[in-house]
Amino acid sequence: MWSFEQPLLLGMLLLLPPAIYLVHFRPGRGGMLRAPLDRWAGAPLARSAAARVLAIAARAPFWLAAALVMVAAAGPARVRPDEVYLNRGLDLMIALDESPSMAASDLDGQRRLDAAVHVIRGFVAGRANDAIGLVSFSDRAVLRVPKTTDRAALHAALDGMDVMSLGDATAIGTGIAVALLHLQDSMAPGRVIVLLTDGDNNAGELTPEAAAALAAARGVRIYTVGIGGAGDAEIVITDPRTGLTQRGRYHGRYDPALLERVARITGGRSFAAAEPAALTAVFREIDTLERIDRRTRVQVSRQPRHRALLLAALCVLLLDVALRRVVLAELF
Amino acid sequence: MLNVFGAITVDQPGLLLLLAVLAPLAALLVYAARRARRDLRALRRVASLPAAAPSPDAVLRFKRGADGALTWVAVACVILGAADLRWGTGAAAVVPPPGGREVVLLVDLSRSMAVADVAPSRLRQGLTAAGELVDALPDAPVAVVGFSDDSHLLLPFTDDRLALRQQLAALHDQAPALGGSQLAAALRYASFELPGRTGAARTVVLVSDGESSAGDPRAAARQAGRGGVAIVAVPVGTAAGAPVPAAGGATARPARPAGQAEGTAQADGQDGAAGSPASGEHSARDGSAMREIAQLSGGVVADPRLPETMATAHAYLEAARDGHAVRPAATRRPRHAALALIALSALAGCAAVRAVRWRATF
Repeated sequence: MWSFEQPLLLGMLLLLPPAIYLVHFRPGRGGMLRAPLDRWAGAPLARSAAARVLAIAARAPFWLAAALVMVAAAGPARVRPDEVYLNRGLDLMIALDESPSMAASDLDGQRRLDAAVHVIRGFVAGRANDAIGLVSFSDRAVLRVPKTTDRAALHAALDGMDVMSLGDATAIGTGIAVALLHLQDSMAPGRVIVLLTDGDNNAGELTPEAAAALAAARGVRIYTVGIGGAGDAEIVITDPRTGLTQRGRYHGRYDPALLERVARITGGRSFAAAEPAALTAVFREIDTLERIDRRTRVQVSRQPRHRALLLAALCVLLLDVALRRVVLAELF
Repeated sequence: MLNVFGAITVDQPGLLLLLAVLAPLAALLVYAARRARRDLRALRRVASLPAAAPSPDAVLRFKRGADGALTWVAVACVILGAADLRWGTGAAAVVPPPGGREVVLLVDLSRSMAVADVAPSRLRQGLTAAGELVDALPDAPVAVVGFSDDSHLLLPFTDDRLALRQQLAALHDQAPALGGSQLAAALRYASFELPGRTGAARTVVLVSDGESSAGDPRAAARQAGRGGVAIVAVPVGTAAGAPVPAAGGATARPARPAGQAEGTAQADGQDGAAGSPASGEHSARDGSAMREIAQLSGGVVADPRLPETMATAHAYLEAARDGHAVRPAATRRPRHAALALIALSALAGCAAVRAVRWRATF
């Protein structure tokens, strides 16, 4: 979108037609000799068609330059409205299970991990003002991305997620603890952990309940999401360390009671997602539950464009001088 | 940005080179006027053109001169307007940024940062100082970018200070890359290409020895300043420098020209912690380059070995948090519209002279 600092100055463009008329078309304006007479050999002073065209064309650069300078004086600028968030959003950490069972393909043929990553992408896309981080856990837990509004960094981290990179067990308590560690100094109006797992806690020194109690003491709510169905599922696992691929059937399920306890301790809620649509619905509900009022304002950024116009005017003015004074050699 | 006597600033000083066209233009106009006079004399000698009764020479000279001079003035004003001359006091840009402030910690990871002319290394000295500076903005999102031959985002914008400390600790233990120092490109990346929060004002904390293997860091700093990005420069190392460590114990950096160390040392007011060999390859801090980078962007220098500069930088960042960092360039009013109107007046004069010419000449 374009705007002008002094749009009234554009009115000067209206002066151009009468000015051109007065200078070039006024009756009785007389004629003009455009030829170096020291090279004239006495031939009749009839102009060729090309000379006529050139004579008319030679008038154009001057008026074009004047028009460009008029527009530049009006201060043209390219404006872009941006929505600026005036208040801070939530701080949200996603703790995602990376244990081997997340490779089970029981979500419409999708691996549980892939389905979770897909839904997380959609979830974060609708929360532009929230700082969202990612922790993954198996035997141990690591921070993949600190809470940030940089969605490209978050998506890059999600791209790099794979099973078994952190071991082959499920340390839910450790996962919650690491996420909590990176939330505890937060000054955001709301602090939330979304825990996604498909297994029972079978590793780590901290129980999920103890970790949840720590979170509750710090005012952090935990939403738990149990992923996967109760039946057998096909599973293909490639060990990132050895490169060996194993295939088989997986039978196992998360502990719904445990996830319910963890959520209840912190004032959150527990969800089950046995299919992709349910997983999407769960995140939609979390999205609804964790909303704070947004205060925004539109900030208009201006990028002045007068420079290009003035440089164009400069070129055209120099062309005018070259045409009139050198090529056509006007006499005055 | 060029500052003329502190009263006039030029945003695009490179365009002032176009003023060089004014001299040949004047010469061309004079030449054309003389040729016109000569042609006119030839016209008078043509007896078969009785209708051609030229005006008195004095009038013609005036018209030629006025048209040439006004064209010249118009060209000059157009060039000055394109170069964005600013003068006079404008509205002070001291409003707090609506999106808050964000900080990019730009860390030089080129091989010269492993030079041990300061203990334990330039990199560690700089990271420690940068960590102290960032503490001045406790709730501002901080991103960490490392650069040598390329720039890499090491930590996205976050206010997670634990993650920041972990990242800086990881850099402490990291051997600097086997690469050059693309400082100019890194400054552009940190200032403009790295996406940040909409409406946020950005400050870059640059940790470097100031050496640059390609590009013009000063131009990049000037560009950053024009874009509202201030650079706090943290120069590390010593002016005397020390050998650059390389894989296998060899060194691979060309020797510094004689005399450069002395000049830099005087500019820095520092003496080297370690002596440099008379021959061989070594790296020295380019303190003057770091100072210019800070100044051109409207920022300050935070020298880890000078506590008063650290305190100044700390105070600067605290003020910047609330948008109180007054930038000199922002306080000068742009004058391109005025210059364009002057050019337009000159062009109008040209048109008037030409219009009169039609009536008077024939």
